[in-house]
Amino acid sequence: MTEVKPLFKIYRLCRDRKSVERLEMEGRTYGLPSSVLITGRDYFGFIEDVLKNCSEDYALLCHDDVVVPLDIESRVEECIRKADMCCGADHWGVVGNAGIEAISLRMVRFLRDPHAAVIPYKSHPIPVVSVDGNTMLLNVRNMQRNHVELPAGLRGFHLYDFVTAAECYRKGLLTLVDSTLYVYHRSGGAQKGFDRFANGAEFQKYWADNFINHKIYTVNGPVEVSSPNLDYLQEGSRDKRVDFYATVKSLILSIQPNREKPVINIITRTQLANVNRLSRLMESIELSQRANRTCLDLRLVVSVNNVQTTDRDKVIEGLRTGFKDLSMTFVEGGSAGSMAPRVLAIKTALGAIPEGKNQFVWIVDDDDFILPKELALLPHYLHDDVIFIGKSEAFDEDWSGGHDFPDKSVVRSGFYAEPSYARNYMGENHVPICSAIFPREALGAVFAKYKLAGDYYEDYALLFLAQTKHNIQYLPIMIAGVSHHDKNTVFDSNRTHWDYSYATFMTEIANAGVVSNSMYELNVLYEESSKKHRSFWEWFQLLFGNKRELFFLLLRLKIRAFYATIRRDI
Amino acid sequence: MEDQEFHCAYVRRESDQMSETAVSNCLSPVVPVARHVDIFCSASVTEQGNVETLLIPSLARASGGISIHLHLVDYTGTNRLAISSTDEVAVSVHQSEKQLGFGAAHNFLFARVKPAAFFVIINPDIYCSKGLVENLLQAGEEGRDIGIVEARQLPYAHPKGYDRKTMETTWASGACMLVCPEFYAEVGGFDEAFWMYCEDVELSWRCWLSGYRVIHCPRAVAYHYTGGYFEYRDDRFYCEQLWGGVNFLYLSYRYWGSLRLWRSVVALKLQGWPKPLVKRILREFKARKRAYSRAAGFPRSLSSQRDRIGIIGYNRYKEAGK
Repeated sequence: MTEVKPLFKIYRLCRDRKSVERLEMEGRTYGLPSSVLITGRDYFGFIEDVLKNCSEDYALLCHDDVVVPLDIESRVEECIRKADMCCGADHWGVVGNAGIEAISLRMVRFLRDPHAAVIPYKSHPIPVVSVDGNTMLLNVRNMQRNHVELPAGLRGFHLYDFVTAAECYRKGLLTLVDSTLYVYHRSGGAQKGFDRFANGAEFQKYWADNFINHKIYTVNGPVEVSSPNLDYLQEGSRDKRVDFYATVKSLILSIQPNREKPVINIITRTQLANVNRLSRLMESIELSQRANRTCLDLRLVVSVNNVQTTDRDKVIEGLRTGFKDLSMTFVEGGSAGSMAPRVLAIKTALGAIPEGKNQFVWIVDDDDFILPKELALLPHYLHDDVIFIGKSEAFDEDWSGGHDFPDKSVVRSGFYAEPSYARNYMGENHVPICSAIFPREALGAVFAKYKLAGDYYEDYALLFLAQTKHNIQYLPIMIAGVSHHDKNTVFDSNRTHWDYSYATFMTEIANAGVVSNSMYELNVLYEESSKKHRSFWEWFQLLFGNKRELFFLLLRLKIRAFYATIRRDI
Repeated sequence: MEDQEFHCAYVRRESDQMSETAVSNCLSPVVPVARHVDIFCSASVTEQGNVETLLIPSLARASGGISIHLHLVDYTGTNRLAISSTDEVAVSVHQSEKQLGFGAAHNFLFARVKPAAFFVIINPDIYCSKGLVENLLQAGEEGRDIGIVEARQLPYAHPKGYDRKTMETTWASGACMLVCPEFYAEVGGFDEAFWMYCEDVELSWRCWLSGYRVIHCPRAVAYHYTGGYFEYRDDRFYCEQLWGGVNFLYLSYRYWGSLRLWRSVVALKLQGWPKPLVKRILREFKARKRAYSRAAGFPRSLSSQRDRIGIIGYNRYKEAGK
């Protein structure tokens, strides 16, 4: 049976007749699919017309200065297939090639334009809060069915893309970006016109009437909304406005990806020396499973090694009885041989995890724990070919009382810098092991190929080697808590063992040919450029010189004005 | 009445100071005396999933064999909350005709349920660790003058201290606390003017001023994944910012008058929040201040609790053990 190709049509809004003629000629020259070329309309009206009149299921809307690849037809088909797979055919409204990622609120771009020429990677469809209008694939069928309409009061050539995405979200449809829609966009946009439109009365009113947020993230930069009606949302009130970003997040959460529930196998290595901390980890997993049972399958593999108690069996039995609802497997580390026990314990545990698709591995140390609150987002971001990196929070803990809970627990916000994961390539480690979730196959491949004879830094070596084969996706989803306490080996003052381990792992990495010479050259370029960084005081002196008296005078006036406002307020 | 008999009478001791046993009981469990406890929770339909999948199952584990009755009120006044009892936890959903703030919701439940023994106030987004309820009760029943026992919140412990010897703390978080009904009735419950946030601080201060004590029970662990650490963004205002600000000013004014208020407004402004939010906080506070001036005067005899009652920064209050 032959596969039925999706029906789509290309629409391009042209600035004048000359552009129409140019695009007609280019289409003939390069054998591009026929396009509907329209001129004399604003972009809001253009999209409205397409939604109203398009008889195909999908419409690809492009600016007239966008250069599409010669195989655009098959790219669009691939894009539709990926979007359907990602969130189900009925749940998406728009796919673009650049936008603001929905969780991190960072820009993702799969295009070349005057602003950037970064060569992108092959992505999975990424949910975004805002899309760049240079190229938008509209799911006309879904948008018509869900009654997506653009607001009547808005006209012009700016923010139509953002408004289209916002209206899709209001009607329960996702907006995505994907690498299949990569294009060359010849224009960088008109920032002044954008600023005028964003700060204009029509757009500000549209926003304040529908949403409570005072900041909008767009590909042209953030827009501040300064309506006096902006407010917090009171539970149970009749206010019809919504928190835009919360709406986006809850829509993502409500849509189950079009595949099976991911199975996350949590590996923990233990000597059974501190059962209270191990119990805390198990309780956190049990709680997380209970809270996320509809979307995730959490299983625990306990790798027991170098046991520090004489009551081994009794302790294990106690844990099994105490956490009856938890799917738990105990494995023995066995003889280390040439492999250090920390690495061997992971390898042994990996043997207890079935191979195959949709199986993931999350290594969490036995004194750390997982955080359940945001785990429901994971099914959307776990893929068999992507290493997921989330956020971990460090906690200063005191366990000296020997109780089931730490006597002190103080969060050290921002201790880890996972967004800097790419600096792995510069020899810097910013990612604790519990921040990474690997596809089972990725870790298996690393163990199959490398000796891994070091001990400490095994987390760094594993992540580094796995990322040379797989993409990493970092998102600020809080997934784990890392315990800092007096027994942490991380804080050993004697670094000898750490240093020997580092040298052993790095020698293997350097000689295994996983880092290319071009990557090495990029490192060198980065190091040289980072040395040019100017300190705050250098910038200050550059701008103000040594005019300290002027500075203090301004400061005094500012303080006086501040107190005057307080006097008035009370 | 059968229900009343089921409730256990308090075990009161004469000593005013917390005994050595009491201190050790805060850290390690012993069999509690009470066999029944009423638990109050103010929730809305959006939190129903949390209550059903996390709070109720965890309460069953946390009971240690004590019979638990969970009383819920839909604080939105829409009465859409519908939760059934389980084998281990009896559940009653009380209907309110109007929207209620946090304090008003618990005062409402207190008047409805009329608990005869210690009762627990808990947030709908709490997950109780094993033995939480029995540990709270045990700690509460050790001293006759205990008004409030605060559970310990993890993993994000409340950033305030407690006295490691007496277990006393200056104020208790309303996210999970055990309350003595005599004390609650004596002081008239929460001050409903607060609507939401800081009313727990104020109730604790009145606890100290009324001759009762507030203690912290580190053994009773409540997992609380509070929004501040997960959900808050800088593109909108949150209830916590608005009401936290208004109530902080109100607390300053109510206990110390205009002089302290002046300093508190400075502290608020130094938070660097967007001007519309600060303006809104000040506007709401002014309205509250006008209403308050007509109602009551400043509390007296603050000097007796000078070490416990005080403001040390924006929404930061004096701490024990420091």
